[in-house]
Amino acid sequence: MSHIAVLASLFPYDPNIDSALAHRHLVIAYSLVWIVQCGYLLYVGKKWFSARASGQDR
Amino acid sequence: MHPFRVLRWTWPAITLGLLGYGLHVALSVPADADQANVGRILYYHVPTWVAMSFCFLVNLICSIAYLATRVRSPEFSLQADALAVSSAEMGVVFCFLGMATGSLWGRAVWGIWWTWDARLTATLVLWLIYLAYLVLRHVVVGGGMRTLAAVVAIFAYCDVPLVYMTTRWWRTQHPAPVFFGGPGSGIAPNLLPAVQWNIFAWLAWGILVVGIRFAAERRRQANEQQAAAQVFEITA
Repeated sequence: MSHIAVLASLFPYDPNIDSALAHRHLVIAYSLVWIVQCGYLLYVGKKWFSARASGQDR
Repeated sequence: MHPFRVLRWTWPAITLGLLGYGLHVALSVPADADQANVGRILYYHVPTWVAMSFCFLVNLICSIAYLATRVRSPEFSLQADALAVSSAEMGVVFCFLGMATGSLWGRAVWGIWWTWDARLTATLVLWLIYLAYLVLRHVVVGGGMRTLAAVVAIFAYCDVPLVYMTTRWWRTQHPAPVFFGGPGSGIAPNLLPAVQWNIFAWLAWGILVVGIRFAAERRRQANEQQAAAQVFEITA
């Protein structure tokens, strides 16, 4: 939980102009982009390694 | 050293540098006057759409190239097909992220996660069409799969300009175009670098990941050809 708090503190937040919901959604939007893109990169990397391994087996 | 080999090692470093700088600029430019800090979602929302449009354009060009060369130059057409599937997958990921970031932004600003307005609906249809294209490539077997997929890709691309034009043709929930929207459109000059750097960064990321996916697909194709040749040797 403390990790999320650290992450959220990286994003600008001014209680005078921002709502807590808006701040949460800003953090989630940026985190989601990075998580999904890194997840897809892992999938692509796995595909590349498995294709290379099955090529060496032959 | 071959320039491609140099690029293979420098491109990831350039991409990571651009992504890091893009994130720094996105979080350090002043807050939007109307929407405050939640307006920073724009700096990731717009680049995902630009990158998605680029990926689907590559998919279209490669699909046409496949159809045009599959008889005359089978090896080149296989390369085109590998790039087509790689770019379509990346485009689907970008499209999903565009919708997700838009939904999170919409909930914070409009108070709703989703509405059936022209832009959002056309985008959802676009995502579903390209998802169907990828499913088709998995379920159809045999030599006709690549031809069928290339034809579907050409029809699928018809929705891309439609999505772009929706906010110009119909005024519904989605805001009017910020960029190239005519008089009164655009964002403050001091916020523009955040959009531009993140467009460069996510385009570079897209090229990097598509490149790796393309290499994996080419290896899979080579393995497939090798296996087919072995079967032919056994039966001959």
